[in-house]
Amino acid sequence: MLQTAFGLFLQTVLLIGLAPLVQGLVKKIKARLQNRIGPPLLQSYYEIAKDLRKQAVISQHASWFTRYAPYIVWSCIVTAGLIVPSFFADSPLGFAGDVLMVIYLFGTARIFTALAALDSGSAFGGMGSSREMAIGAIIEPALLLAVLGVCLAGKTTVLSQLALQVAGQSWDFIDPAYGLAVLAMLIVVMAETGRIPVDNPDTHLELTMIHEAMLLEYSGRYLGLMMWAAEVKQLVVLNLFISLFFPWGIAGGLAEAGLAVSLLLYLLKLALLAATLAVVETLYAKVRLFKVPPLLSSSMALSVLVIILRIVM
Amino acid sequence: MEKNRRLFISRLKQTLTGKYLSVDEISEQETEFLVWKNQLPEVCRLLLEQRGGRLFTMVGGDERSWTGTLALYYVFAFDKTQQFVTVKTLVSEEEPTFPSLAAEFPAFNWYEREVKDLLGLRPQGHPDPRPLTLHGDWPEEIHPLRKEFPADEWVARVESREAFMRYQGQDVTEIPVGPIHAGIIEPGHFRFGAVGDTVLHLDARLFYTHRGLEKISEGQPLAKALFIAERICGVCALSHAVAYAQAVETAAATEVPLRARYLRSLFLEVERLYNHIGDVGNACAGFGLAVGISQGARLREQLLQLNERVSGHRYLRGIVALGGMRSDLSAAEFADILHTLNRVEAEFQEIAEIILSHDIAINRMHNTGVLTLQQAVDLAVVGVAARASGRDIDVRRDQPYAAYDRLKFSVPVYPEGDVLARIRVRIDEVTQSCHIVRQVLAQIEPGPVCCELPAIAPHRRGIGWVESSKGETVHWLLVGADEMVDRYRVRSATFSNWPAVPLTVPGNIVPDFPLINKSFELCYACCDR
Amino acid sequence: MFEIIRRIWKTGVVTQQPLVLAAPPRYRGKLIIDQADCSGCGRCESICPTGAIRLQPAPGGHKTGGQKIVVSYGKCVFCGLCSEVCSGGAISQSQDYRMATRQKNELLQYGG
Repeated sequence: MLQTAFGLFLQTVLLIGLAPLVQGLVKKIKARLQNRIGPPLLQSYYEIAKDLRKQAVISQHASWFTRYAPYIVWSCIVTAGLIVPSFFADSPLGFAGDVLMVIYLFGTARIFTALAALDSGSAFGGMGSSREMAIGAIIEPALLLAVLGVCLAGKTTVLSQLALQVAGQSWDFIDPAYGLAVLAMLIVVMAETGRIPVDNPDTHLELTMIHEAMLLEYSGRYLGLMMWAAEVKQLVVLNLFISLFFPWGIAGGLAEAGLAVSLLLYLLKLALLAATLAVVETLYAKVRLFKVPPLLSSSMALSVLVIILRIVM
Repeated sequence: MEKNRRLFISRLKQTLTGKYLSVDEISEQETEFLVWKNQLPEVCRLLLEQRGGRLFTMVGGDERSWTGTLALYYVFAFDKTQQFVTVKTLVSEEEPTFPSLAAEFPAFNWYEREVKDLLGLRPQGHPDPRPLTLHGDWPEEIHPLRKEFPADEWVARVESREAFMRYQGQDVTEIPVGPIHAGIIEPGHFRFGAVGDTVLHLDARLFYTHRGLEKISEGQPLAKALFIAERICGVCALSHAVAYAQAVETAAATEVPLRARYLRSLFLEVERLYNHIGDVGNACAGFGLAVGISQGARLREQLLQLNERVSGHRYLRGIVALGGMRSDLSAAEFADILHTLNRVEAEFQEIAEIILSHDIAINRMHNTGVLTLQQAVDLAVVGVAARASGRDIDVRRDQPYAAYDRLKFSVPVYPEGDVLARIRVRIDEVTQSCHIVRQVLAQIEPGPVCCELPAIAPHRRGIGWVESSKGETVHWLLVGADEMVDRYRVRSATFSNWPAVPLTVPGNIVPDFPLINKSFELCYACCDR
Repeated sequence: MFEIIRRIWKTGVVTQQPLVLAAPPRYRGKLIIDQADCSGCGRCESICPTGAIRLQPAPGGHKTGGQKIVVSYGKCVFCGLCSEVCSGGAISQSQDYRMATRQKNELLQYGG
């Protein structure tokens, strides 16, 4: 019991503490790829701290919903993060739900963000939320299918068991189906984290925004919470990616030996993934909005292939 | 040249027989026909349709102090003969109306609305009665360009009488954007009528940065108004300065020393280069191609630093004088220009290659924001946008100024009219500009760079024009008493091109608008003045 | 794709370090006013396009006839015309471009 509580505490701190760093790392690498020095690695912490200290200005047309939504979204995302293993497989809320739970917590957060964007009645909020919901409707099944490919191999949807299974397997686990699944998942990761080629997190062009457009009406601590939630979500998606495809070296639980090695490996993997995100974002441009569904369908097609391969083989 | 001119004018007189009151030769290149107000549509129609002229600018002026009436000047360019024809008509104060041509020739639309706002001359039969330059909250009966209106007057605003198009039907969403944007850009208000993300209609309201520069330059000595001209726009400061200087020099009937003309061409091309290179890079922000944005900005910065080294100002301000240039360049500075340019050109080619071979970039630009040739001609679109739609005009070639008659270059034209074509025109023009600069450096000879201007008699006129990086910029100047500015009308390229932008958007999706807008790269300040 | 990476690699980091550098010799920055050389001709005052430069009556027996040059950097556009027309060499241009102040009256520079 005590250990579960400790695990819960540890993972929560890890999630909300590490997320801004990952964001900072991606930004730093991207800046380097644009031949700039870039902001300090800890910039995202400063920004969240600044926003949380500030008073919020809320549209006079907004209702209570706008004020509550950031807390709900933040909690949903952090809860989802407690189900996904990080550097120890036995995730603190692993008993409460499986991968489907994670996907639906993401969905809940998405709906609340979109509703809050509609609440103040601004044109950009409506535009952003309609785009987010349209794309979200395709991201969710794409994510589900991508995960399903792995679940089929492990014959379970419980993430901690999946991670341990994959980690326990020898190198011959890497087969064509695995490669396809990684690719399918990578596309979903880019979409879920709101990055190029689906969305552009750095743009100031309000008409092209998706996720950012929904936050335009927010300010102060609400904005800080929403940004923080987005960064945590990014970390959770990366955690999911790691524990499904690269969990090697992961420790089973907090009591096991090799925890330090596992943590180091985990941080290394995160850094590598952050670099991958930055490189992909630099090499690609944002596709036309109506080309996003085909892009995500290609991820789904890959996942279906994986599932067929898994069943046949 | 002189013979051709005589022939051209006599033919014109033939065409217009019985439709004008008098003919006047204003300058070597400009001929003025005075017509009655009711003859105006007929004369303009003949010039545009039969004689192959194109609308260059239109100016309204308050001349009550010396002729007792207000006046309208329609200036048409005839590129084949390198002549300008001005049609002048007088409008009395008692009956301040004139026949509108906007329904027949849409290019007149904005000019007529501006004359109505600023001078209170009402175009009769104009299809769009909305205010343009002064927004709807400006009192309708106050006209700032009338001489009795003091430039520093504070005017109380009234309730806005402005309206946007109302959209009917359940599925049409109205998306208002701006004038304050998420990024640090100039103010403009755009209203989209969209179904989902597909645009049905776009309304643009500009003129948020109307500073009344034409008004405050009135009564200024000619030499001081140059500094106002230089501050019309941030990125084509030199184009405006040169255009103004040329207008003054035409009014003074003075030939500028050859070396100064070469130097003007040199700096004008450097200005085009930093703009085009920056704009190509910036267009990549429309589809988030990070390498294009960062590399474009880097090369532009190198050119700006070059500007600072050779002229003392990053945006080339304060280097033009009336009658030439303010200072000469040394051999070391010429070498610096050549060296920097060669390096920038080579790197830019590489980046242009990267952009043009990037699948997503091409996909985003191809067939996006198409401006047809018909639209471009009807609205008298100029510059990069015109050439990307197959309208082959470039005043550097068609109406040479500075040293362009001695320089060889080609004018890239693409027929497609989409974003990609506009980017390609810019990329090709970068090569041509580098080519021009190298020719200037090879051809330029020692000599004076400035000459004294003779005294200019009151009511002399001059037109100056420059092909800036956005397109042709026309400065029309009427000199008053004591060598002061009496009326100064700036028609920048953006004033001609802005009406075309909303036409290219319907049928595209909302997130493509920033890209389309960037491909035109029109500044607001230039247009609003 | 490889061209992009090659291009990025070849460019390296271009953020200028240190950020503040001296301006090139042609740069027109803050004015240097040497009141002792002023003949009081007033040419600077009449050529200034924005009215930023003034000759102000000042006590003290100068050869300028008791006048002092005052420049307002709130109006100056750094065209450099005043230093060009100055007959006695009382006004010259420096390359100093760091002139931000917190006080409006600090924008005035008096000839000394």
